[in-house]
Amino acid sequence: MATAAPTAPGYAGMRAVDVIIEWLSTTDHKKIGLLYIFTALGFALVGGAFSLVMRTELAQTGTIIGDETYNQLFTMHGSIMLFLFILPVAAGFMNYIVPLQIGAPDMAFPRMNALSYWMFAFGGIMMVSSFAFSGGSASAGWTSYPPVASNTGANAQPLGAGTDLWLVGVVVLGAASTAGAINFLTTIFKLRAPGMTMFRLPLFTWTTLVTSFLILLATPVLASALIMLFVDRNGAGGAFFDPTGQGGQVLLWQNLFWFYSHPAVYIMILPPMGVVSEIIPVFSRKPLFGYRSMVLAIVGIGLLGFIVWAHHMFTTGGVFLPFFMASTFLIAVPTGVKFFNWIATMFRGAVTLPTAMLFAIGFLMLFLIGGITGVFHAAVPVDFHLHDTYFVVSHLHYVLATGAAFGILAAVYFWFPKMTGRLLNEGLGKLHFWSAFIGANMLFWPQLMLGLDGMPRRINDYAAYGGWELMNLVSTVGAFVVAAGMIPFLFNILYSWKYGEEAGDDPWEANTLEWATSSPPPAHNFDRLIPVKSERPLFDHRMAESGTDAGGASAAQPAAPQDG
Amino acid sequence: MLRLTVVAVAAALLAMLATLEAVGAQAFPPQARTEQGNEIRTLYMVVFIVAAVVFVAVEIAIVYIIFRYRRRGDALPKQTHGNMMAEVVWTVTPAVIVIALFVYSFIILENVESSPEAGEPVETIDVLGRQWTWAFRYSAELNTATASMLPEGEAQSTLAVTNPDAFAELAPFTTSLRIDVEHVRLVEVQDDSIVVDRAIDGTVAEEHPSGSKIWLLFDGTETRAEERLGGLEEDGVPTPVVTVPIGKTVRFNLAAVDVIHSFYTPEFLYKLDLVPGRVHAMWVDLNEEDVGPEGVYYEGQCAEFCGREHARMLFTVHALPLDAYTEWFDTQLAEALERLKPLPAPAPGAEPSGQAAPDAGPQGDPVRGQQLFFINGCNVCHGDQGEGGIGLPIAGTALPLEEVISQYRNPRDQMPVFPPDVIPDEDIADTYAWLQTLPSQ
Repeated sequence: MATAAPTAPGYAGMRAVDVIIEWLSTTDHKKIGLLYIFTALGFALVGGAFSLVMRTELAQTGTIIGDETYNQLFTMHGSIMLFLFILPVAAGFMNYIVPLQIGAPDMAFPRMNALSYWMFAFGGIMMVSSFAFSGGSASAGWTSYPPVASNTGANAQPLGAGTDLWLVGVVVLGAASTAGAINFLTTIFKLRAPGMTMFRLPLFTWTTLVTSFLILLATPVLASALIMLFVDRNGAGGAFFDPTGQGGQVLLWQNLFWFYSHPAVYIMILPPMGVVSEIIPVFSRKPLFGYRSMVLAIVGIGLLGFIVWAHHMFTTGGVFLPFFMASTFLIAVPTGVKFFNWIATMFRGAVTLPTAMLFAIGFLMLFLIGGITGVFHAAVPVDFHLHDTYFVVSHLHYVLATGAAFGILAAVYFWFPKMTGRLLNEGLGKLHFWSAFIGANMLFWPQLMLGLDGMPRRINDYAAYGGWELMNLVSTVGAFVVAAGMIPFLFNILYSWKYGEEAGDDPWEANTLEWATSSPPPAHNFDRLIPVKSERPLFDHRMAESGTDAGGASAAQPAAPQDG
Repeated sequence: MLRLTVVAVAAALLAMLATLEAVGAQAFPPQARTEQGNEIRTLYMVVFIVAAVVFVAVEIAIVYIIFRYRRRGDALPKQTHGNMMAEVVWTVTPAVIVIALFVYSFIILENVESSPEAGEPVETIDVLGRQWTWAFRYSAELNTATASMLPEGEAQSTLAVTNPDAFAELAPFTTSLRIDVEHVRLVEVQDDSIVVDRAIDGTVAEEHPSGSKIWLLFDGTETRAEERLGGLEEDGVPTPVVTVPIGKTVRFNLAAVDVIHSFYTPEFLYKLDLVPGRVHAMWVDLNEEDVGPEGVYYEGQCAEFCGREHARMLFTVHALPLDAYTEWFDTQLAEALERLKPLPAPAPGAEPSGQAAPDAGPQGDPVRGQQLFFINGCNVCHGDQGEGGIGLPIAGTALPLEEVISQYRNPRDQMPVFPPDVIPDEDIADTYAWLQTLPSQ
């Protein structure tokens, strides 16, 4: 492979203040992507620290922190991890990678792209700043159900200004993410390189496309619900969710909220699925098995994702249960198809296990638990027992922490060389992976047991008998194991950025266009584009350059029919 | 290689299960104590078996393939892009499995939610959730029914009844009635009709046709001091207890006064939310055999986050064999009837009516005060005679009036806030005057 020139980002001789202004005013999708990623990782450290405080509180019976502090912590842990970490960090990778993968020089609307980032940053700061106000942050849970979250009606504990800041913050974040979605859709539809047909798009770009549609369609519903609750709370004549005689409906909020927030689960999990779909073929040295069925599964998950929202409401007594039970069971099918395709990609491949691949396999092994525990919740009568217990807490963390976040971590290890020109240290990476993998299971598996035994979520104290203490203690130890694994990870990023082994353009023998330019790429991304004739343009290019005898096995085969 | 992987994964799983078993963790839900819970547990087991097979098979496949197909040189593996047959099989197979699970879950759901046949005896127990405690109301048959239609949404209604004599021994204001699932307060008894306040206690003012049965509603919340949470006993707040019969269908009517709560007893494997503005019915058949006359206790708690002290919103189910339950019920009813007798006017010169006394004076008007005690719902926590319950005993309180007023405005412990625009100082003075007529506890 061509060795790239030393890739210091070219700031030599620039004054520090100019470098800062350059980053604050940038409209380069790569810099905006990095801003997203680092801001989101910063928020993740805050949200993660909150979870350590909560796990410490729950390690044994009795209380250390007060009820209200605990309620603020779990509310902000959920809000930060979902709205300020997983969604925006995925947006960061999409920003950096998608234009490169489709051979575009930048996003379609670079300034709007910058606007999206800054709205996200300020919305996030607004939400987190609520700790500084009297009454503290929002404390009604990240789901913010009225009447707990409203101050009308008979609620004995009306919440303070933190809840209003939370509401406005989420509206701003929603606007940022909607603008981003429009940008991605336009970019993918209009800026593809010659030859890059829809069925040659890399899977990560496909998940970006479907995710953007979900954001575009679902976010306005959330925004309207947030504004209605803000009006309810601030005495502006609204009684949308107030049941006390003015025609309001308590459950209306839950319908509107989950109409966004269930698709939001797929908004959060599809991009990591896309990441895994990029990584597994590269480190198996095979094309993705069943490219078209993968695309159809992504689209199918996106469509079905819109008709399962009320499975969060099975115990509210206000849901037509059979319909939502059927749709929820059905969404397991496209997810299963993806699993079989990933496994079949590795089957008879040539598997190597760098940290990026380890996290992708960790995703497969643990997201599977998230998927299977979801089937328990889909069976409505079983959900009558498990709803709002630690079983569902464990389920959603297997989906979002060992699913979405593992996918994100795989993306970090996979694309770091492209972004910096240097490789992350593999030894530290493996230390990180094993502490995350083992720690996460210590953290979340006991919670399945606690949930089966009936321990409700969102409580800061529990009975001193009944066998809950030990499981809680194990879970807390697991949380600290995961947290300890973050230390080598953060050190690795800081160290390798400057001193890591030089990566070159394409350290992994990858398949897609982002590896066909220098690392990091120049401002305009490509000096010269290679031809795109399949979903693996770089693979084709490599084969063409080295003649047809690159792999004996494949040379013996007639050229496999390319999809698209 | 495959055999080695299978053995390794199986050993790891067994070791994990054994460890969990050794530390007392539950790999399965608790034994169900109700027929509905048994159905749910059976469904759980079926889902568990399917899930376990899929889980073990997929994890073994992943681990095996990683080791079996490690890169061993530079030769490029065969570039397979897909296999139509395989893809169809692994799309259709999961679809068949989930459709089968759906059908079976649907059948169980029908069984769990089904109401008993008409004519089968049912014990109705009304569950009221409020921040952050529970009240349990029981219904006794009154030999009377409505003789006129009761419209929905009215605040106060006059209602013709078939047998006005049934109300002769019941005091206005302190007596609550149940019509279908709506709770009303008896305000006045007339010749052939009664006047009622509608939808007290968070129930909804619905339309009831003429001929609806009227039930006497009485509070049967008992309490049990126990150490379920660290520091609980220091708060002096005992856990409310709901007493239920074994061997007779129980219908819980669930209503919330303030925010959403959820009525969850893990050993029933069943929860249902209490949603303000709605009344939900939950059917339960307790079926545990060999229970002595002292009964058995199951712990429960609120499962829907409901604000500051959600973690402390506990309750206990006290399940009694049917004859012991009947005895308990009759005792409770007799005590309630004693409490609900019309009182002779205790203070000189006051008329027992809902009208405000022209000038209560500094002493307050005890008759109006008693009515306000019920109208404002003080009885829900402090008992019908201020004897205490969820809240502290307050009959004959030794506190001066000023401190009582400040307790309304800035409550200690779990009492909700009552600002002056909801309960003015004069009303507190009247209630205070009535409490002073009662024997101190």
